[in-house]
Amino acid sequence: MYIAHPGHWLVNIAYFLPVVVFIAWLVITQIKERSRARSGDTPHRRYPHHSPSGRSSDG
Amino acid sequence: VTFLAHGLVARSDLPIPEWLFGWAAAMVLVVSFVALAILWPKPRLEHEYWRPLPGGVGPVLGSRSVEVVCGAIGVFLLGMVVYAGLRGTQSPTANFAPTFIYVIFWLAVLPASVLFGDVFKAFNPWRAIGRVVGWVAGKAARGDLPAPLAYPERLGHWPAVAGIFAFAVMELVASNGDRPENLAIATLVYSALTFIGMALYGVERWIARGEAFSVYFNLFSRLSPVETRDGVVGLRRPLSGLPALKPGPGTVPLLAVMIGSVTFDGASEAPIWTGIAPDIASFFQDLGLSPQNSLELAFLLGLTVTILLIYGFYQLGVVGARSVGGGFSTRRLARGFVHSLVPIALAYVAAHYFTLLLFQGQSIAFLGSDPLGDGSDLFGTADSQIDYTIIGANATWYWQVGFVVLGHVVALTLAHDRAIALYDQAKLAVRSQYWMLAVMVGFTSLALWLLSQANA
Repeated sequence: MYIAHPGHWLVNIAYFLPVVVFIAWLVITQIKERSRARSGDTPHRRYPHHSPSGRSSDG
Repeated sequence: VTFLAHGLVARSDLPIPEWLFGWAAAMVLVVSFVALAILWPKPRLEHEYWRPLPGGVGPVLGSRSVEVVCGAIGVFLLGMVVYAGLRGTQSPTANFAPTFIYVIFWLAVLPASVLFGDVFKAFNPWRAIGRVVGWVAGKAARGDLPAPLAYPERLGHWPAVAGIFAFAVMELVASNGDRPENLAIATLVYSALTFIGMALYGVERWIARGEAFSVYFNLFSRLSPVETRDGVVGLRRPLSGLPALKPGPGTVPLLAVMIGSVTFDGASEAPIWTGIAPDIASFFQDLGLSPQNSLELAFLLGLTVTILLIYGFYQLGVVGARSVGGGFSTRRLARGFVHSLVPIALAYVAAHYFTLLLFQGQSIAFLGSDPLGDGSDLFGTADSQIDYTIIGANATWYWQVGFVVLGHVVALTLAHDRAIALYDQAKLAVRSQYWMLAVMVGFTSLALWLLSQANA
C-alpha cells in the first residue's frame, strides 16, 4: 500500500531531512577533523627531531 | 483511550506545507545555537539565586495553614476519584474519575507547575495523609517512632520510572484503561504502594525521589521562576531550577519514558503504526492469546520500543558529545545534560495534548456537578457543554509549533549553559553542543511529524 503511494513516504521523510542532513554533516566534519589531526601528528611521530615545517629542531 | 481522542478538526489553508514548518523550526534552532555561542560566553544558570516574594506574601503562601488547606483539597479529590470510580456510572465520559485523572490531574497541573512552581507538592494527597499519619503516630508513640530507612542511592528515580510507565500503560495500552472502576482500583493500588514507600523511607524522602507524580511535576516546576524554600515562597532566575537538579540512577530513563510515552501516543495515530499493529497483534493471537490481550501486548511492545528509541537517540547524542573530547564518561555526560530534556518533554505534552486540555478540560464543569453520572446537579452546571469553537485548527497548529520550537530553544539554552560550565575549553563546549543540537533538531522534527499525523 505504501509503495503504491510514495507521496506519503516522501512527506514523512521531508520532516526528518534536516536532522539527517545535520548528522551527516556532523559525522563528515568530525571524520575530516580527525584525519587532519592524524596527518598533522604524523611528522612528529616519524621524525621526532624535526619540526612540522621540515626543518631540524636542533639545527 | 478512545474517548480522549485529540486532533479533532482538520487543518486547512496553511500558507506552507506542514513539513516546511519542521525545516523552519530546525533553522530557528541553528540560529539560536549560533546566537548562544556568541552571546552566552559564561554559565548564568548554574548559580542559585532566590529571594522571598515581596511584601511578606512569601511566608503567607508557604505557611502551614495554606499547606493544610491545599493538602485537604488534594485528599478530598483523591477520595472523590475513588468514590466516583467505584460507585458512579461506568461510562468514561459521564464519570468524574477518567477526565479528572487524564485531563485535570495529568495535564492541567503541568502549566500550573511551570507558572507557579511545585503546586502538586502542596496538593499531594499521599504526602498530606502520610504527614498526618506520621504526626498522629508520633504523638501516640510519644516521639518514639523508629527512624525511616536510608533511601538506597541505587534506586534513584527508578520507582518514578516504574510509576510513570505504569500510568502510560494504563492510558495508552490497557483497553479498559478509561473505565472508572479500573481507574479507582489503580488509584488505590498506587496509594497503597506510596504509603509503603513513605513508611519505609520517610514521607519527604519518598515524595522527593520515589513517588512518581511528585517527581514528574517537580521536574516541570523547575522551569518556573517560583520556588518554595523552608516554608517561604520566593522567586529565582527563570530556568535556574533545572541545572540544580541532581540526576541519579533512573533519571535519564525517566525522561525517556516521559517523552517516549507522548511520542507513542502520537505515533499510534499514524499510518506507520495503524498499518503494523494488527500484524503484531495477530502474531500474538497465533500464540494463543485472546484478541484483546494480543492488541494490548502489541501496544505495550510499541510503547516500550518507542521509549527505547528515544533513550537510544539521546544516548547517541551523548556518545557524539563524548567523541569531541574533554575526558568525560558517557554516563557523566548523559546525566549532565539530562535536565535539558525537561523542556522538550514539556513541549511534547503541551503540543500533543493542547486541544485535549482545552476541549475535554471544559467537561469538568458538568462532571464536577454530576460526578457519578447519576443525574445530580450539585453546582447547577450539569447542563454545560464543551465549546469546540474556542480555537480553530490552524490556530492550534501555530500554538503547537510555537510550543515545540520554544521548548527546544530552552533545551538548547540549558544544554549550552551546562556545556560551558562543564568543559574547560570553550571550543570543546561548543563542539559538544553540535551533537546536542542534532538531538534537539531530531526531537523537533519528530514532534512536528507526530502532530501532523493527528490528521493524516
